[in-house]
Amino acid sequence: MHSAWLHFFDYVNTIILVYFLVANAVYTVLMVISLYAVSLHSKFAAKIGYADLSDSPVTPPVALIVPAYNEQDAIVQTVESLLVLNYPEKEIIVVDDGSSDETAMRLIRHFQLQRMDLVYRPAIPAKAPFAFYHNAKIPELILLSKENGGKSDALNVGINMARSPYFCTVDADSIIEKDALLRLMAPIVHSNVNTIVSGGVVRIANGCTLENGQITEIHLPKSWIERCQVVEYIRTFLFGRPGWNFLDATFICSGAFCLLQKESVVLAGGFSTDTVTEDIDMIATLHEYMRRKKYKYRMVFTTDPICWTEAPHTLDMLARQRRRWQLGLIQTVMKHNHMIWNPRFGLMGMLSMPFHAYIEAIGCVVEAAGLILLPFSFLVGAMPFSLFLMLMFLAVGYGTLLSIGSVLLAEATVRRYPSYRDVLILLLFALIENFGYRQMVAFIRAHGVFQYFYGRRKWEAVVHKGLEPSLEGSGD
Amino acid sequence: MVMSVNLVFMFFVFYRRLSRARYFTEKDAARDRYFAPAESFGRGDLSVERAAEVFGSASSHAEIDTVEQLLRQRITPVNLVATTELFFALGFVERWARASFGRRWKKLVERSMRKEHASLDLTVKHPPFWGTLGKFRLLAVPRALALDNLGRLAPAYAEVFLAEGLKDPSPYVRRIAIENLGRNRFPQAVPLLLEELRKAVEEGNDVSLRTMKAALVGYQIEDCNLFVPYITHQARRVRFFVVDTLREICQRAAGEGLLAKNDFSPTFCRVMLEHATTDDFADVRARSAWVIRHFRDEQTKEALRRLMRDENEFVRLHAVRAAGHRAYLDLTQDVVARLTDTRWRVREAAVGSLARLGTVGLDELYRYFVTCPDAFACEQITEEVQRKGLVDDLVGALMSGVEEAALARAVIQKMAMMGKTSLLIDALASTTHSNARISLMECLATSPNEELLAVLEMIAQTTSGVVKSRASQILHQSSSNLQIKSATSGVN
Repeated sequence: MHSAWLHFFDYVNTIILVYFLVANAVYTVLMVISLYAVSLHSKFAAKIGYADLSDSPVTPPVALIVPAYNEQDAIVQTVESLLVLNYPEKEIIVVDDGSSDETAMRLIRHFQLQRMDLVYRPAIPAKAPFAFYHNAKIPELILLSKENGGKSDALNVGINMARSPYFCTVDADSIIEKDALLRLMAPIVHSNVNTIVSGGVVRIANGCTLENGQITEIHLPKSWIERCQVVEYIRTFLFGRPGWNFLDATFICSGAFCLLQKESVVLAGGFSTDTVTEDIDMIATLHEYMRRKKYKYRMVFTTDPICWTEAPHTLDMLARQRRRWQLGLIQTVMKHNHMIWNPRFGLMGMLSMPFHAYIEAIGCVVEAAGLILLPFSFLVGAMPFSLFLMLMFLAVGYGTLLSIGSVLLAEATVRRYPSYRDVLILLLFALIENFGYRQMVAFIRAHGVFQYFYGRRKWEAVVHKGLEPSLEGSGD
Repeated sequence: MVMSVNLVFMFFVFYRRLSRARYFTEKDAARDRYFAPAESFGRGDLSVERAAEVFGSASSHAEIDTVEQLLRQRITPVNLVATTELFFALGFVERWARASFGRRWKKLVERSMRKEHASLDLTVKHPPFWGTLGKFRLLAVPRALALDNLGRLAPAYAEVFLAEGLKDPSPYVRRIAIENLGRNRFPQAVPLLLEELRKAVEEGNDVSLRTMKAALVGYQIEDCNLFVPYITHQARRVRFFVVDTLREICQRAAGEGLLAKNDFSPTFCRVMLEHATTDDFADVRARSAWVIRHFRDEQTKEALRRLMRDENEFVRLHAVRAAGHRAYLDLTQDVVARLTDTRWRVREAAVGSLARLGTVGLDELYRYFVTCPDAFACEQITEEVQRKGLVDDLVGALMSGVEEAALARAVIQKMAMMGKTSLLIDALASTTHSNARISLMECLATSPNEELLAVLEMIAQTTSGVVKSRASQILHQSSSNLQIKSATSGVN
C-alpha cells in the first residue's frame, strides 16, 4: 500500500487508540468513585430516612414546573403523581405550551379547574400566558396556557409564576416516586454551602405497572431496544453522574427531574432558548454565573430520588431522541467553550468540561469512525492483528465490564428489579448491548454532531405511546 | 481478563441476591419468634430482666437486627427508659458505642449508665491525621449510624454520647449528634446548639444552618426562655436565626392550641417587645412580628402597628401577615392601609390577612376595593378573591340582605370593569338560583364581552320564564353595546 495511506491510517489509528484509552480510563475512575459514593450514600440514607425532613418547618417550599406540549396521554397521571408526593409545601404549575391536542382540556376536566384571571409578573422574559386555570379545592395546582414557545420558554413562564424559593422541573411524561422530592431536597437542607441544583435518577418505566399515579410493580420492558436503554440509563445515572458529583464537577442533571434554586436561575437569566437541551445549558450557565460572581455554591446529584419516564419504543424515536441530546450537548459545549481548560472553573473547567466536550460531545464521531476504519485498516494490512484486537477490545469488550459493573452497583444499592429473571435478563443485556446497540447509538450521536455543523437547530419531537396501554395488570 | 472480571461481577450479583434472600428468610423466622415477646415488652407486661433473657437468644445478624427493629417500633415515651435499659442489657449500646467511639466506648458507656451530664467543651482539636482520616465517609458513615442509635436512647442516657459525637471530625456524625440533641430537647444543649449556630453564621461550619435550625425548632414553647440571652446576641444573624426559630416553635404550638401571653415568661415577652421588634436588623424585626402576635395585648397591637409601617418591605410583609388574626380586629384599618403598599407581596399579604379576619375583614376589603383607584391594589385583590374561592360567596351574597347584596353587586361590577370575569361567567353559567342569576347577568352586563354574550345566549335558549326573558333582553342590549364599543375603538 502507498506509504502516504499507511501514514494516514497510523495517525487515525493513534487518535482512535488515544480516544478509547482516555475514555475508558475516565469511565473506570468514575466507576470506582461511584461504587464508593453510591454504596455509602445508600447505606446512610436507608438507615437515617427522611421522616424528619417531611415534618420539619425548615424544609423549603418547592414549585414543581411541568412544561407540557401535546402530552394528552400522560399529563393527568403525571399531575396525579405530583399531587400525592410526600412533601410539606409544594405548588404544581403545569404550563401548556400551545398544545394542539387535548392536554389542557384533560387537566381541566379531570381536576375540575376553572379559568381565572390571575396576575402574571415576569422576572424572566417569556411568552406571557393567556389563560390561568385553578381549583380552590386543589390550591397547589395551577394550569397556565400559553402560545407555543418551546420547553425553555414554558419553564421560564413557570418560574415567573412560582412563589417558592426552589423549583423542580418535571417532564410531562414522568412519574415521580412518592418520597423522591424529599430525597432531592435532603442534600440542600443538609449542605453547609448554598446548594443551587439537586439532581435525581431517571429510570425507564416501560414494562412497569402504574396505579393511581405511582409505579407499583417494577419489571423490565419486553422489547430489546427498551431493555438496552434500561442498562444504558443505569450506567449513566449510577456510574457517570455520581462520579462527577463526587468530584464536585456536575455538568449534566436531567431536566426530567431536577431541583433548582429560583433566585440563582433568575439571576442567571432563566432557561435559554438557544440550545435544544435546556437542562444541560442551565447547569453550565449556573456554573459560569456563580464562578464569575465568586459565590460559594454546590450542585449535587443523588441516586435515591427516582423519577420514572417512558423511553422511546422504536428505533426511529430513539434516533430522534439521541440526535437531539447530542446536538444539545455540543451546542452547550460550544456555547460555554471558554470554560474548557479554564482553571478559574476548578475541576469543572479542567476535567468535567474537557471530558464532556472531547469525549462525550465530539468523541462519538471518533468512535463511529473507528468502528468503520479499524476493520478496514486491518483488512487492507495497515494494522497488525494484535493492535486490531486491542482496539476492538477497547471499543467493545471493555464496555461490557462497565455495563455489568453498573448492574452490580444497582444490585448492591437500589435493587429495583425484584425478580431473578429480570436481573438475569439485565445482565444478559448488559453484555449484549455492547455488540450492536452501542455502536448504533454511536452512529446516531455522530449524526447529531454533523447536524450541529450543518446548522440544524430544530427540536426533534419524540412521540411516546403512553405508559398505560403497555401496562401489565392495569386492567386494560 | 475482562470476561473473568465480568464473571466475578455476575457471580457477585447473584451471591448478593441469595445472601439477601437468606437474610430476609431468617429475619421473617426471627420476627415470628420475637413478635409476641416484643409486644408484651412494649405494653410493659414483660420486665427488663425477663426480656433480656428472651431476646438474648438472638445470635445471628438477622436475628439481632429483627430484635432491634421490633423493640424500636414499639418505643413510646412510657417505655423509653425500660427499652434503653434493655438495649444496655442486650449489649446493643456497647456495640453502638464501640462503632461510634472506638477505644473510648467503655468510659462513655459507664458515664451514660450513671446518666452523667455532658460537658459543654466544644474546643476540640483533632490531631491532623485523625482529623483527615475521620472525615472519610467510609469510616464516618458507620460511626454516624451507630450514633443515631445511641441518640434514640432515653435522653438522660443519650446525652453523653451526643455531646461526644459533636466533637467528631466528620460532618456526618456531627449532623446526627445535632439532630438528636434537638430531638431530645436537653435544656443544657441549647447553648451548645446556639454556639454551633454562631459558628455556622460567623466562621463557617461543616453542619448546615438548616440542620441546626431544625434541631432548635425541636424545642417546645416552655423552652423559649432558654433562648432569651440570644435574642440580644451581638451577631445580628444569630439574633435572626434565634427569633426565626422562636417563630417556628410558636407556630407549631399555636397549631396545637391557642397561645396567650401567659404561655410565655414576662422576661421573654419584654425582651421580644422591647428588643426584637426594634432590632436594627430588619429580618429580626420581621420575624419578631410572628412571635409577639401570640401575646395579644395592647402593647403588641402597638408594636404590630409600628411594624406595619416599617421602612423595610419584609418587615411590613410579615407584620401584615401576623396581624391576620381575629385577636387583632382593631388593626383592620392598618391592614387596609397596606393594600396600597408599593410592594405587591405586601399588598397580597394584606388581602390574605383581611380574608382571614372573616366577614369583618372581607367587608372592609370589598368596601375598599369598590372605591380604590389604585389599579395594582385592585388587581391583587381580584387575584386573591379568585384563588381563595370567594367568588361563590360573592354570588351567594347577591341573594342576602340589601346592604350585603349591594356591596357584592358593586364588587362584581368592578371586577367586570377590570375584565376579571372568567370565574364570574363560569358562576353565571352554573348557578341554578334565578335571582342570583339575574343579578349576576345585570352586573356583568355593565362591561360585556364575547364570553358573556355566549353564556347569555345559552341561558336564553335553555331556560324559561323570567330568567329567559331577562337574559334575552340583556343579550340584546349587551351585543349592541359591544358593537358600539368596538366601532368607537376602531374610529379612535
